[in-house]
Amino acid sequence: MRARLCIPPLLCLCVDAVPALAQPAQAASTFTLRDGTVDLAVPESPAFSALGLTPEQVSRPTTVRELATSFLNGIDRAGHLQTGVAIDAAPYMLLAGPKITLESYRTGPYLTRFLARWQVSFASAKGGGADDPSAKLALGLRFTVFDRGDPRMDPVLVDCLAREAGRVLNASDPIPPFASDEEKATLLAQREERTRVAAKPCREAAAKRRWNRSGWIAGAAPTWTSADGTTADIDYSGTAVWTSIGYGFERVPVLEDHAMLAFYLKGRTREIVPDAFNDGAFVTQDNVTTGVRFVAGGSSSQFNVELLRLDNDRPDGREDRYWNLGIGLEQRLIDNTWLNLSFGRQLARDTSGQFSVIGAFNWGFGPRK
Amino acid sequence: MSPIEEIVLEAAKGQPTVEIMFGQAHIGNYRFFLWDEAGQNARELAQGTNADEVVDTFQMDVAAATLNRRILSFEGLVQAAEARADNVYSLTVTVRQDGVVCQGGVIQDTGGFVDVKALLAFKRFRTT
Repeated sequence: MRARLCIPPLLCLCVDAVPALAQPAQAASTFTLRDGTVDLAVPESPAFSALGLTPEQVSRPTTVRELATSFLNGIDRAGHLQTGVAIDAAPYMLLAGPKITLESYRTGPYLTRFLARWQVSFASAKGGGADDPSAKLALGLRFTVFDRGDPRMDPVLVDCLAREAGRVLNASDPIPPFASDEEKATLLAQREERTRVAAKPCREAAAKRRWNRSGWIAGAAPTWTSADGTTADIDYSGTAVWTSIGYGFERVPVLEDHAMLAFYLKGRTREIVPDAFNDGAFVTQDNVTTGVRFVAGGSSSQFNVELLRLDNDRPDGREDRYWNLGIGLEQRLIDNTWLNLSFGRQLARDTSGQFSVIGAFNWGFGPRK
Repeated sequence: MSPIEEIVLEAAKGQPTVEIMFGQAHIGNYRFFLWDEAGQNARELAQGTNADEVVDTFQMDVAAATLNRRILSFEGLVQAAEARADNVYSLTVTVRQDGVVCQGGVIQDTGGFVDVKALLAFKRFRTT
């Protein structure tokens, strides 16, 4: 089983958890409650998610040259796709980042912020078995349409961080030009640590202010598959799309500090998944998942209620649609370690065409990334 | 110990101006010192942050002709509003005389960081 941890305002992720106490399914049903969770949040790297990857090493180039090199490394001289390539980049910041000042970001046109938050990811993965030479590719795009929780736009946070850094600098003696490199490195590291400690209250207070701010994020990831693993044999193999809209009840007394309402939409075309009606078989289908989630609490304790609708468009026309209702509690234990408790119930048609209700209880703990 | 690179000034031109720009929309604090030829007797020239509304450009209060062999030091702290493992910082310091960028008058630094990065740079003036 896996338990889901949700990062306010919109990001959710799954972490390994102990086995859940799931109720047994109805005898005639082949359905299982998907751990009581369907991760609908727009992933940080849509390309990785579209291919079902959680790469251990992601190339995050800081210059255009590094970006080009990373892409070139994805294809060998014979035109074979290299598997395991994972690149994540913010193109506009790569190109124009050195000239984007805090002021231009905060007071410039909306387009500056939109482009600065735009992310691109690229991933490739090898086919299933040892005798399967196929390779899959995905190109992911992620846009933040608006984000009222953008920390750069938080004047209290920015002023606090600048004030504390100024104090650290003013309390430090100037570093002499002819100090040894080791001495300079030590003094700089000390300044960083002092600043980090001084800035911690600024960041914690900002996290409390921002946890439920409104925002809208969208992502898309078209995928391609090459049967023989070469660039000459690539075929389109479906697209995944996500969007999440969070409403933080700004200017609504009480709710603006303690509640959030989020809407999710996730779709995938041509997805190859295990056939819910035939054990061991796979089916290629389109699917759409929509959901709404209400979160109440604060930056360290949150209660949530979630209602999802899942529609699977099967090629055989068989009905595969169901609702999923879940409730959960998340509690920050220490620093970035959270305890998650959730209970979900699924209402669906079983193989005999009757509605069945399946419930599952999950718990787990781990970091929010 | 790393060698100190030079900024070439023209004695007949005006007092140098220094412009500081922190890129990637990060928060930056800075201060500048002027040292004697031996790297002693520091005097603070300016300090500031890009988080206020004050322009991050200052004019040195010393004539170019008297700066020969003296050392300029830059100290900065860059902070990301949101700590992330893949944050990138970039800094550009530009020294001009009469609006023209001096030879060797650009300090650029870029790299990765998480939440805070301390920066340091030195330049030695040479007046012609």
